[in-house]
Amino acid sequence: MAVKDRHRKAPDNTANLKQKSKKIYTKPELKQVPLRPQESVLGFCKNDNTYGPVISTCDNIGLVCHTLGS
Amino acid sequence: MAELLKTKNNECSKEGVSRVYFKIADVTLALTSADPKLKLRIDGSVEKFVTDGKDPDMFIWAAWEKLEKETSGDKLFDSGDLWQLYYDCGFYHFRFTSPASGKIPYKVARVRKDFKRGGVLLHRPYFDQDQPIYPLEYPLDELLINNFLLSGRGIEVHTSGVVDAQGNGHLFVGHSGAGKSTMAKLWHDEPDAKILSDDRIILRNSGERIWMYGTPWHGDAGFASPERAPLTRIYFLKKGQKNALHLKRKAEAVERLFTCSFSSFYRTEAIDFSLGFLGKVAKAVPCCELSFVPDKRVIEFIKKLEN
Repeated sequence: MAVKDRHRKAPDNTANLKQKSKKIYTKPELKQVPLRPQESVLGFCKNDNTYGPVISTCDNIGLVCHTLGS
Repeated sequence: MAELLKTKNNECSKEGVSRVYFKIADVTLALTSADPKLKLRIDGSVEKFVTDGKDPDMFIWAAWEKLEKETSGDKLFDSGDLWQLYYDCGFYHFRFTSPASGKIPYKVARVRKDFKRGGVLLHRPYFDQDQPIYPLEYPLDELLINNFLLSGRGIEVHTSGVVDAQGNGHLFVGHSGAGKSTMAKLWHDEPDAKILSDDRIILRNSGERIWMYGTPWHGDAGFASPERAPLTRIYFLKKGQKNALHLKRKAEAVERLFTCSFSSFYRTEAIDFSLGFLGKVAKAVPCCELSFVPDKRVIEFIKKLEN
């Protein structure tokens, strides 16, 4: 009967396919990532070695940067 | 003790303007002087990014102010040397100090938490008021654009970016000293190759592709282009005895991109976005470690890969 057919058990090969497509379990691991904090947060100067305001007349006065990066 | 010195760029002869627009990675920023006595100028490579005033995404004004020692709000972050971040009633306050300015900041930028609007207050006594000023002097311009991008729009990475004659975008990733500028200089001699930047590239996605954009924040080689190109391949730079390429797993690629990105470590949502976006980038293009000898042969080596 048609009703009986619909409730028939799935053939075994479906289970095999499921088994094959299953991903291999990889244990989660914690890994330390090497950041360079001053580079990452723009906490250093770039290129011209100076930063800060312009003080007095045409002579731009800035500060020599001690944390130079690129 | 910090030493005082004269800088190379004497801009005294230039007349200032009261409003200027620039566009970086398709983000247009309108910078306006809120004080008739404060004239604006644009610094260095940002000049290449000046655009017309069509539909700005960000509005920043600048004005003179007599700033106080204290900045209001809760302190969220300290960069170590150049700037500190506070948060108060929906506004971020970026506070900039220098050893010469003592405890009073020389400028404070107050920006709405969506980074679309804000103002820069410049401590009047520290500046020559007759001279035009660039209120977004590094690193403020970069901080503002980066934070705006990190609200779901894109990310800046520590890389050089090159477009070859076929229009392929190559991204060379690495910390300071890894060889980003060296690689940009080597490509510079190639006919029809374009250098978008030797130090900073912004990545955004548009349509089905990831695009790489040049930025004004260049490295030693001084390459800064306002153009963009579709990203084709990512190379993590490693100096070696010979030229060799090793494909990286996606997870490792994301990790290495993240360590060389300029994410906002003080905004949880920005970190979430960064990791997700870099995951998309690593999925979209091949990511490899490139051991290289810094001479012309590495360019030929890369060109062969594309062919």
